[in-house]
Amino acid sequence: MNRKEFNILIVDDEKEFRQTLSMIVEGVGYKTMTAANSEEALRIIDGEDEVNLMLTDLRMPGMSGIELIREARIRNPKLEIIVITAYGTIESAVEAVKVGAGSYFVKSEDPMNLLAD
Amino acid sequence: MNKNRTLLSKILLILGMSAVVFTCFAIFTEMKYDINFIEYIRYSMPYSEEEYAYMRDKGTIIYSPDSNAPPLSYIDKETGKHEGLIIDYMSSISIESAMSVVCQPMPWGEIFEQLRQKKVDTSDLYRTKEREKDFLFTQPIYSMIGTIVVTDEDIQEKEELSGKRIAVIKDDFAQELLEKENQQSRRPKYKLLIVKNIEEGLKKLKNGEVEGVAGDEPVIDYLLNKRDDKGSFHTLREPLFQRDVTFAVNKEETTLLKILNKTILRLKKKDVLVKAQEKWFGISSPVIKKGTTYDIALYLSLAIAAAMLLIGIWNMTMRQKIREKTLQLAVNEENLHAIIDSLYAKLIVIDGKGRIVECNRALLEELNAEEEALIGTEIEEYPLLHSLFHQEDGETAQENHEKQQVIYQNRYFDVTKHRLQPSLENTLMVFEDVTDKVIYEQQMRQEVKMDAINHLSVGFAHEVRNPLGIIRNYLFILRGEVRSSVGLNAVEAAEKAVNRINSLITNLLHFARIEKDCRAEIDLRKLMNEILALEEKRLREHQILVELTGEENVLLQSNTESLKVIFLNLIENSIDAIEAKKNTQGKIQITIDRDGQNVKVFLRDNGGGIPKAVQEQVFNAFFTTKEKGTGLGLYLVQNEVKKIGGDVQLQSRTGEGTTFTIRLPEK
Repeated sequence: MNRKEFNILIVDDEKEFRQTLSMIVEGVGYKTMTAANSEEALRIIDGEDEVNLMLTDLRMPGMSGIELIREARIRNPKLEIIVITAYGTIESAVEAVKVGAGSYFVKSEDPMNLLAD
Repeated sequence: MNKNRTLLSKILLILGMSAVVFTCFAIFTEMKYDINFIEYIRYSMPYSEEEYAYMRDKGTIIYSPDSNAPPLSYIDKETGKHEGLIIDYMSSISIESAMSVVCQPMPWGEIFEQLRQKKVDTSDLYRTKEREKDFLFTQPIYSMIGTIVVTDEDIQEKEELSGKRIAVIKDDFAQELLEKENQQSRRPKYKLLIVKNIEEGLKKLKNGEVEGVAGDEPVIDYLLNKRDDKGSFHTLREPLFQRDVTFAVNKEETTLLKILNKTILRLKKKDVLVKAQEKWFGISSPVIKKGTTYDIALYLSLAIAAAMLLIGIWNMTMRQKIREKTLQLAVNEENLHAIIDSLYAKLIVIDGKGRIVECNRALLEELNAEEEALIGTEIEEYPLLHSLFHQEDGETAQENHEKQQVIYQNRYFDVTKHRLQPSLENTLMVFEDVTDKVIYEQQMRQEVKMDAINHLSVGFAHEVRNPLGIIRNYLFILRGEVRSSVGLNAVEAAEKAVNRINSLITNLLHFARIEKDCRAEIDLRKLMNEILALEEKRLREHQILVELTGEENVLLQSNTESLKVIFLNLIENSIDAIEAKKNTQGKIQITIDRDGQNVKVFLRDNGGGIPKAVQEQVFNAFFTTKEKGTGLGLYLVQNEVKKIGGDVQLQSRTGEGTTFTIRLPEK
């Protein structure tokens, strides 16, 4: 698939992280959208542009990342999801995988790892 | 057994005492009343119905005394009245019983005949075997002495009157006695001259018609006292006889006999005879036996018997009490020993010279010694005791009620010492091995600390990783923009620093996230695969081969989190070791084996190995040989392995690789 047509949604309450990650991902040619919280993310998913991949934080004010994943999977079963977390604990990873995340990525890891996936 | 013996001895003592009392009383009644104990009891009874009936019917009894035996019984020549001691006594009989007494004095010979014919009811007679054939006799009333009175000063013995004339009253007991003596010898010994009464006999003696007069002593004394020339008479040294005077009744008169016996005893108890005697003779009397000394003897013996009885009972009670107390003491001592022996704390008493005086079972077990061997030996022979007793630079034991903690060969002991009364020479030392407690306390402290670190770590990780992620992202963007080599070096150095912080946080989180005790059934192979999946990226990156072999379906009841920490860290270590070695096909072999109740996991890598010099230190916290290491990985591994009851060992050769052997209990 053409990277230009591959829409990536980045959800994180941390504005700087959201923006820099967006810059990196766009740098390698993908199209990105950002959301500061779960509610906003769901609106984008429900919007006109199809979202192919969602990168989401787990701990956010309002609806949690886990709930967002569950909800997003219902709306778009084909949506691929990668969890971005500050904890990097096995529990949170396992929890995320259980509700439908395909992989997880720890903040402060080399973004190359993410791009490799 | 013991109780029976006590009871028996009690019974014997009481019987013995009763016998003493009984004997004393019997002697008393014999002496005082001239009757035995049984008679005393019998005669002390009140008159029976039958006896009352007899007395009512009879109304009056006829009593015949000797008509001329002053002062016992005689007719006063001046007044013509019948008087005398025995007459007074008979009036007392009359008062005491319910019958009147009529006195009909008559000569002796007639009295016997009248009694036989029941014309006379009773008379006072000496009791003899022959007379018993014809009459019934009461208990003795008084004792009578018979004597012979002479005028010749040379005559002192009865034998000296042999062939001489002796005046006697007809049918008097003196006559009976002397005639019997005459009959027994070949020819009559004495010439007996019958007189009407003693008075006549005395006249004949004075006139020289006879050489002696035989008769009742009181009568003779009474008559002599009335004479002016009584100095010329004297009685023989030996009495002629001494007989008890009793009342005689007809053989058929058994009821009367009973009445008289009871009445006599009553009068004896009232000392009637004593009073009558005082009237007729003055104080000194030959008529009755004096009872006073007997009374004293009786009271004395009764008192002694009572005292003995009391002492006996007291003694017995005391012995019983002593037995009970002794038993109780023994029981108390036994209980005390049992209590002391049941204590976990070690007790030992040490004398002033440092020798062992006493100890309890816990101490013997601690020293693995026998009590017999231990007592008396010096504590120096036991290094443990020595170092506990002489703490603080070998200073001699001071009294110290405060608990002190002493460390001996990696064991912790709480020790207290007490000086023992009364000599204060002996010291009681009580000590207890509190090593487990100390370790537990340390663990508790550690856990509290860990809890705090956990909270801090989780918060810290989150707070640091967010900005760190931003830095990382900017560095990534910068790398694309910077062209100069200086700039690229700077970006690379900054990325390395970020990596270090990142791995530090990762380990800190491993360290922190361990849940307390969430045991679950774990399929070890499945878990291992999960962990390997997490590390897949790195393994692929370094092209490391992983071999997972050994038992399938190994199920453990254990803590999942602990196992994850253990194996994740070990696998990461192996990857690090292989990465560090370079130029080799990296290989990690994991083998799961069963070993009885345990599961053994061998984790082998062909990395650089751990130098022998640091092998012992690798499990210590914050020890690391890696450039980027935090020093917490293996420390965490060992901590977690211990927590779930297993152990971890390592074998390593520099350049060849390292094998970790992890033993885990199935449950």
